[in-house]
Amino acid sequence: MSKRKFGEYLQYEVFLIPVLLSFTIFTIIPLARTVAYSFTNFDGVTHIYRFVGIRNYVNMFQDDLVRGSIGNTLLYALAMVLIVNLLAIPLAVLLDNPAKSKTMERAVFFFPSVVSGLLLGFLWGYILSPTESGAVNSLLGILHVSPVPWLSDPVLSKLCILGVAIWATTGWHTMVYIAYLQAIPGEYYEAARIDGASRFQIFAHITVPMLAPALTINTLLLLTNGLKVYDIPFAMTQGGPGYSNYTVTQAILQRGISERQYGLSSAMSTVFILIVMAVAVIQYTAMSRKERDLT
Amino acid sequence: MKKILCISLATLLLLGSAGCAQKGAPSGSSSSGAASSAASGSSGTGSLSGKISMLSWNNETFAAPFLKAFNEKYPGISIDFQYAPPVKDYVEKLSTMLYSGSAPDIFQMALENREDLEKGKYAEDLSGESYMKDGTIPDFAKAPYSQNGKVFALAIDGWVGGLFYNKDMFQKAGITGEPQTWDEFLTDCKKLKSAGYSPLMDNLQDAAVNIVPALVGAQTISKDKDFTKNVYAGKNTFADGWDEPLKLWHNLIESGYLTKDMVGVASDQMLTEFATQKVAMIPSGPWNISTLQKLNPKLSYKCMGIPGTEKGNLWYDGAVDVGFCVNAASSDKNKTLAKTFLSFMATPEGEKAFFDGYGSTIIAKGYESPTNDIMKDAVAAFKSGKTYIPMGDWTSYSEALRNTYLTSLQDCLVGKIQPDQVSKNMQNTLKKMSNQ
Repeated sequence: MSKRKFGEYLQYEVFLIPVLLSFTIFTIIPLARTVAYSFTNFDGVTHIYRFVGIRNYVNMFQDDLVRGSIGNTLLYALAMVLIVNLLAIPLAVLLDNPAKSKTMERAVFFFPSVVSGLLLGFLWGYILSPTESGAVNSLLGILHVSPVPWLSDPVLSKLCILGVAIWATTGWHTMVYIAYLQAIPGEYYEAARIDGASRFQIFAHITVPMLAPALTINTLLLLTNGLKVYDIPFAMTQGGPGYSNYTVTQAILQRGISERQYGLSSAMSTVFILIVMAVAVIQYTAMSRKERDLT
Repeated sequence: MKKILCISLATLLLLGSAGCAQKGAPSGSSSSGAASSAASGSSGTGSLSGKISMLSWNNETFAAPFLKAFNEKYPGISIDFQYAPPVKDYVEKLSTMLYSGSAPDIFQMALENREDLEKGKYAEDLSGESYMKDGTIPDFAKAPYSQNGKVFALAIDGWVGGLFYNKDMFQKAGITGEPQTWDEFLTDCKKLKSAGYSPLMDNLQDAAVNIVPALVGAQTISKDKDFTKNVYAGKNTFADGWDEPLKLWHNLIESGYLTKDMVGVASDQMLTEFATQKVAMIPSGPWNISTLQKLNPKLSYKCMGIPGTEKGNLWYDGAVDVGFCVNAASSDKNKTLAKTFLSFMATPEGEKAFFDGYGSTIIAKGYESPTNDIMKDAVAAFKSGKTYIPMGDWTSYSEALRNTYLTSLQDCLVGKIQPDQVSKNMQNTLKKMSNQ
């Protein structure tokens, strides 16, 4: 590279340095240290620790809490991807109308995603309290229906958490679909109508394929956010009853920070990062290929 | 170009690592930036001056009367008061500050973090202080915060909790007195249920204030004070001392008095149920009296002990409260000021001011704190040693054991496991942690 060209190149690349610096300090270094700690018996209390080989990785897979939390997290992430997408696409089509009230309609669905997940979790924890004085159970009491153990039953509590998370997230993803819907040229629909296509055919053969890039983005976001979920399940149930609603992130915090097993929780974090990375790469590659086929 | 970028990235990585390594190194200097302002004098009340920092797990409203009294006595010493809520948030914040060498001059040692603080040698030895030697602090208040004959924290108060019961509901159900045996307790639950009341709720979100610790106290600790010590030494197992009380507790589930909907109920929800007279008994303590007064001023209730199988052997949940420590890494000047703060706490004047703010039971000699009638029996039991919480005995791996015990109780309530599995789970956790 000639001196002049290098100089020109640096004109632009130099602007990356602040980002690179902060990314290195706040992401790369902690990540490298996490991997290093995962091979030690570091307890976060004393400055003395020793190399223990792969012991933390072996112990990790023998831990019921870890196995249970991986199952819960995968269930949550997959359910979120499937249900939110299934709800958000038709909702986007419905909200993409020229009605005067469209802004209000969109705001109503978007609002839950503005509020913090922890706050929503605590609020719904009160609404769905399994006691007689819980908001929903009080209403049921008026109808002479016995209190329902919303958050104290292992299965029902999972459904409640999913319900709240879907309610809180769907609006945001709907907005992404609406943005892509508005970019579809009107001529496509006009041509289809002239050719006598039904509304379902238009939806299935024009709208859905044209939404493929949005589907890729939404699925990636839902999957990665679903895999690192913490706030709503924790605020609603604290992970209980027992370990039945623990997620991977909560398990990492519990074993690492609360129980002072930083080595073990670093091993959990390392494996978790690799899983998320693998899932994201596979999903993105597969969806991009599908996206090309559809469009 | 890519090579240049790679080299730059690697350099940044190395520089960053070095920066972090320096940050993580132990600090021998004062943690308080204000320390430099400390005056040189350290003898006599008037000559002491400077600024010290403190991390408290009670907010400033509780600490205000004591801080005010201290300020009047030592106008030259100012306190930079910081707060983090107990237990988890406080323990995590403090341990991060200590590890990074930025901890305050005064912090608190609880049953949940004493192992860490002792292991990291973060607290100054207080055993040479006059209040530790002249009998002001009773031995039972020193014990939880002692190791190898050294005392690392000053605790002047304690807490006690038991079963709050609704007097009107008891009367209407035909219950004439407080139950003195476990069988009588079950009979009373039956009477309450027959009268159309929900007899009781248990708090399975709280490891300290629920029915099980007091039952373990009544059935096991009352007979063998060293039971847990022997479990750690491998001479006993948790099953030896926990299975019986857990089976008694399980009677409440089998009889339908404790139901699985109670597993997700938080303390404040339980309090609302009690205040609105939807349940006759809940585990609670004096810290909730003012809330109950606000929720239902007409509520007539009292705190009673949890009976074991032996007549009159009533136990409560309770322990010595959190202790105050002096940071071993603070400057000598700040250590002197911090020790002055603690010494004042152990005077009758300081104890009274402390009680005015915190409202807890003072156990240090010098000031007799008044007791609310609701808590009278509970406080008497506390003073005679009839209180128990397991974390008080769990000198190692406390948080791992606490989590196992609490989640196992929840699993037991929802019918996922039997009571004997709770102690097995605890034993497994102890074994696993010991092998780490």
